[in-house]
Amino acid sequence: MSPETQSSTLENLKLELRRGCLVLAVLGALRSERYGYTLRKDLADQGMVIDEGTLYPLLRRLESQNLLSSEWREHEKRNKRFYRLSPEGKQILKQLLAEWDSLDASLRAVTTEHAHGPHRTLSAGR
Amino acid sequence: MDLIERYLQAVKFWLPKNQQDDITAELSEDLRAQIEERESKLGRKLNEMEVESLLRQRGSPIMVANGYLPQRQLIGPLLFPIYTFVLKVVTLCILIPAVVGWIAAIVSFTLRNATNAAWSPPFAAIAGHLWTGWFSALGVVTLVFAILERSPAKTQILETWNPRKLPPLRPANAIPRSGSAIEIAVYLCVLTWWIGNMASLANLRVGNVHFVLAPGWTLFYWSILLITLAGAAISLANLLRPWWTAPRIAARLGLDVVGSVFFCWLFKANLLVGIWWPSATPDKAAFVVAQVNVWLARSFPYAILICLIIAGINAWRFVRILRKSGPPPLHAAVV
Repeated sequence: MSPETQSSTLENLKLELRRGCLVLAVLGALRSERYGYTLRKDLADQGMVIDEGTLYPLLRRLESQNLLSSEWREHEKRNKRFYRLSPEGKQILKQLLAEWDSLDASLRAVTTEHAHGPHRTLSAGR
Repeated sequence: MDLIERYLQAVKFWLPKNQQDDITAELSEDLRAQIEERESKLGRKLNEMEVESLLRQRGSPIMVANGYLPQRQLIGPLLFPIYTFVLKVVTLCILIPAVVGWIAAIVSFTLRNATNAAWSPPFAAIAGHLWTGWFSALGVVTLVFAILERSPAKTQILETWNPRKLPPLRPANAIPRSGSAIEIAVYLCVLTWWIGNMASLANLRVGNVHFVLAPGWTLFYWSILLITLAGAAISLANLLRPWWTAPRIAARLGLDVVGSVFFCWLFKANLLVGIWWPSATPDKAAFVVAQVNVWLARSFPYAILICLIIAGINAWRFVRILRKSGPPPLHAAVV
C-alpha cells in the first residue's frame, strides 16, 4: 500500500470512527443549554471538530427523536435557537455513556489481548 | 451582504416547505455569528471575496439542504446487487438474440449476394431496435425495482429464504450451458457460410473479384470443415454433459493445435495462384498474386506467435480447471 493510499484509508477510517461519536458528544455538550454556533465552537475547542452541514441536521434529527428540546430566544439583540437535552435525552445519554464505557473496555481488552496474544495463549495452554 | 441572502435563498429552494423558514433562520444566524467573529478578529468588515470564500467552505446550497432532507434512494443497498444482476441478465437476453440475428443476416446477405439478388440486410433497423429495446427493458427493470424498494414485499423477499433451497455447489470444472449454446450457434453460422461460399473452387468470388486457388485449397477446405464439425461436436457434448473431463479437455486442446497448424500452413502454402477483376491486366493480376503470397509468407511468424499465445492461454485455463476440480468436498461425500 502506497503512503498516499494508506493516509487516505486512515483518514476515512478516522472519519467513520468519529461519526459514531458525534451523537454522544452533542448530547453530552447539551446537558447545558447552547445555541448552534457556540455548541460547534465548544466542541471544536474540546477537539471534536464538526462542520455546520453535519451539526445542524443532526440537531434537528435528535430533536425529532425527542432527545433535545429547542426554543428561539433573543440573545445579544439577536434571535437564536437554543438547544438543551430533554428528560428523555438525559436517560438515553446515560445509557449511551454506559455503552461507550463497555465498548471502551472491550476494545481495550481486545487490543491488549491482540498485542500480547501469543503469550496469553501459551500460558492458557499450559 | 447580498451574497449571503442569495445563498440562503438558494438553500431554501431545496428544503421542505414546512421547514424552510426555520432552517434558513438558523443558518442565517450561524453565518452572521461566524462573520462577526472574523470581523472582530480582523478589526474590519469582511469584503465580498472573504464572504464568498466563507460560503464556499460551507458547501453548495443543494449540499447544505441535502443534510436536512431524509435519505432517499431509488433502489436501496439491499436490492441493488439483485438489481444489477437482473440488468446483466436482461442485457444478455436482448444482446444474444440480436447478435445471432445479425450473424444470420450477414450469412443470408452473403448467400443472396452470390446469386445477385437485390437485397441488403437491415443492419440499421436491427441496431435501432436493439438500442430502443435495451433502453426500454432497463427502464422497466428500474421501475419494477423502484416500486419493490417502496413496497413491504421487499422485506418479505429478503427475509423468507430457505438454506435448503440454495443452489447446489458448483464444481470448478462446470461448463455454463449458455456458453455451449452460443458456441454451437456460432459453429452453425460458420459452417453455413463455409459450405455456402467456399465449397466451389471454380466459382470462388467476392463481389466482382475472382480467385484461382491451388489444388491444396481442397485439403484446407475439408480440414477446416472437419475441425469446425469436431468443435461443434465438443460443444454439443458440453451442452449435454456440462463439466470438463480430461478426454474432452484433451480433444479441445488437440483441436486447437490442429486448427493452428492449418491456419499457419495457409500463410506458407501459396494457395493463391490467380486473381481477376474486370479492369485487371495479366501483369497487374500476377503482381497482386505475388504480393499477396509474399505478405502472407512474411506474416507467417506472427501467425505462429498468435497461435502459441491462444494455445498457451487455453492450456493455462484448463490446467487451472484441473487443479481446482480436485477431490469432492468432505460434506458432499457425507451426503
